[in-house]
Amino acid sequence: MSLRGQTKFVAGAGVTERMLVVTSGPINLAISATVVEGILPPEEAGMAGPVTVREITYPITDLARKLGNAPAAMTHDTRIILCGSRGFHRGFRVDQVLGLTEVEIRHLRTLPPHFAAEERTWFKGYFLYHEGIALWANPDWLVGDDPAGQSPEPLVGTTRVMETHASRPGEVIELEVVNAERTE
Amino acid sequence: MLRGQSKQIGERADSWSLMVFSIGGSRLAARTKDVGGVRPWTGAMQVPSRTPYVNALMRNGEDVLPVFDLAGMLNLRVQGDTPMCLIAKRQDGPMVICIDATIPTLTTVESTALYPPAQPDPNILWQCQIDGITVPIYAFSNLATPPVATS
Repeated sequence: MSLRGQTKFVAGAGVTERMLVVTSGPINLAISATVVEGILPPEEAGMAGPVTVREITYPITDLARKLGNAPAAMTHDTRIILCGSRGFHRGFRVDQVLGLTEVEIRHLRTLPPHFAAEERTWFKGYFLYHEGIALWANPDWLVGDDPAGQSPEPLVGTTRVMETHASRPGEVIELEVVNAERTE
Repeated sequence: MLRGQSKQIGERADSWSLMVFSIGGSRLAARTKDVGGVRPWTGAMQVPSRTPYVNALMRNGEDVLPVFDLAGMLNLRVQGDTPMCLIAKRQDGPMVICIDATIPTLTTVESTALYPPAQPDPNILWQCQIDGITVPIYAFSNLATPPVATS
């Protein structure tokens, strides 16, 4: 299920970091593949409540709230990204999954020094992504203890998760659906 | 420049070359040496931030610059359908400022025509009169940077 073990490997041109890039409002956010444990399909993404997958429970929050924005309305592109890091597990509702991509480490940039407050710990940096920019989320901030300052939503439903296939550096990787469970 | 003459004294003794621009219809100025250029505003990506007035990145080709929200600092709204992007040279690196669609102009002001603002403001170097309007000259090099502590 997890994308763990598929990051920081040497591909032809150099060491790369594998990232899942999602959108939340006006922001492109890149999440290290080591953190991503699954993606819920659209029919499940709008449901309230935590998700349990393979005996791991993920409280679900809107990524927009965590980024300081109002959540967008649900669309057919809405997904929930299941994340885990250092024993913490969280799910985030995102507007759209743009794809899984590999970025050469040398192309990752730190935030300019003009950003001088907590945001330097929220983001490990950024990189050029298509015609825009993607912010690279710090897993400790994203998934750590009480990341959104919200209480978990009620338990409902049953759902599935997706996992990925490996591909060559720079390619967007297709996702496939696998079975999982939601607590009741 | 004469030997021993400081640059600051030179500036005070000479005329000042200014770029005059507008935000929310208000005319503002900066020293031309503190401006890295002006180009069309192509949009920026928001960056969640707790740094005052620094909350976005703008990409231009391979270059990415932080966005300083001068309009927000001044409680103004940028006017025009096609705003401009002014590159300000701050001491910690260049940054972009969204300004009104009005094309900035260059002007020269004699240093003797400069006077301090009525209300002290660390972001304003001096004020001057241009076409009968009071125009503040902003200190882009240390705009909204914390004052250096002195012991």
